[in-house]
Amino acid sequence: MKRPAIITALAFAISVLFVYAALIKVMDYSFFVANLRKSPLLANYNMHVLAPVVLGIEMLAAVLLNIAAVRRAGFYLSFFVMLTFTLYLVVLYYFYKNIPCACGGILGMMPYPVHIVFNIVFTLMAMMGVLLDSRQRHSRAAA
Amino acid sequence: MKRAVRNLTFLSVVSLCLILLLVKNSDPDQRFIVIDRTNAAFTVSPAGSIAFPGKISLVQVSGHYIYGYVHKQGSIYRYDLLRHRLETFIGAADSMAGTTNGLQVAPDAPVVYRFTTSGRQVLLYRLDGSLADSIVCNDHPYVKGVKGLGTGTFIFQWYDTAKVASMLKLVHYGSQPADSVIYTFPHFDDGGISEDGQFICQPATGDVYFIPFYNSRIIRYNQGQNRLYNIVTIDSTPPANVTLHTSSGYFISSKALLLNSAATADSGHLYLLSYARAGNDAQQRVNVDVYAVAGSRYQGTISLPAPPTGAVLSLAKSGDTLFVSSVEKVMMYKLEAR
Repeated sequence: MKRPAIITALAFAISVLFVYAALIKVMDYSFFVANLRKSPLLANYNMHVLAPVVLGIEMLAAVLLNIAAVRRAGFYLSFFVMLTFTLYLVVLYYFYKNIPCACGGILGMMPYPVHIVFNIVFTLMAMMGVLLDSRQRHSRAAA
Repeated sequence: MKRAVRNLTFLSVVSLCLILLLVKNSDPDQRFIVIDRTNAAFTVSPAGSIAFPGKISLVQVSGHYIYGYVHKQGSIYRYDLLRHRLETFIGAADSMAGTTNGLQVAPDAPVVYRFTTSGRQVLLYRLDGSLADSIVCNDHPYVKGVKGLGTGTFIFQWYDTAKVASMLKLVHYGSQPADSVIYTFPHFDDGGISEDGQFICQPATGDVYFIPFYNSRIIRYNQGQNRLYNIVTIDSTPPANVTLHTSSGYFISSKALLLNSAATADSGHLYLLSYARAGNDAQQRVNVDVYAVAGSRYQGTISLPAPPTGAVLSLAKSGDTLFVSSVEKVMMYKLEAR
């Protein structure tokens, strides 16, 4: 598989994840907010601000990934978001108990270890996207 | 390429700092509720405690007797409040049907009903501890059960495998057996586990309450009126699938949040021990939220003074006394109107 095809495939896979995750949250917004409210890590933050911010970032990452000119920014944002979500889950899983998950759909049904591995895979995919895209631009510039 | 690696490293550090900030501002193991708790219209004062020989997972009070089920031993003990004596009511050797998941001093006869985890029997014991009768429920293996009004009448939480639905049923055993569906729970693909909970009953009013463990939708069924009422607790947690489906069945997810752990009722109020934490709770306290039966409204919270060591496992109310079972102790609290 050629490099541009891999980059497109990575962008597509990550953006599908973000769109799915955001849509599930929007479809049951009150459930999403209620679960965020129960998170011990987010206890002292305003959920009416945080919930739209999380949704907005997920949608923004999906949009950026699908526009060739700003795809690298999309990969950077995806890497940051997925890494943050992964660290968030790791901290909850290892240092807290009886924790709700604000993810809906299939993601919300995963046990924590599976969810963490899933997130790590997507974090690595976003990182790979950044590196491949960077190398491609470098090759183009050299040519 | 080097620049990309540098940028990724920078983002990783920012992400790590963000999580450290969240951890710094976190409040472990709390469940937040939207509204603040208010004081209930009761003053509460400790009124002593009674030692039991084990962790008392169920407590019931009738007359001057306190019945406590010690799960680990499979035994039911009885404490006489007049003679201040603890005795074995049903010994472990008699636990023929496995462990108990419900215990009820009968409203209409001098017997104690024992609901089993197998869901295939209801055992009736006389007040001297001897087995009086047993009802075989093979046609309706229940999840949880409670005695209804009238001889041979029970209310079961039941899982209909054909309809793939969890429901409450009024079942009558006798010369003319009958059963009818009272309520069907919201459907989740979880074998009914998300709707796990406990029954409590108030014989004086004919009310039976089903208290879900994982959401805020309490169901009150008045058998005399044949009518259902809803009480939504102050955390407003909607019913949701809290299970994981694996190849060997459904399990409660580690992400599931236990909200309502124990409850009891008198003729005017429902007393609910909630793990949900309000914004104005200064510290982790044992909060018993009080709801008015009439109108199904929140009326305030009792914070137990000198709370028991360990988790509260069961509540009972008799007269003006609230009985709280915990690790090897039943604590008593006097409630007085302000």
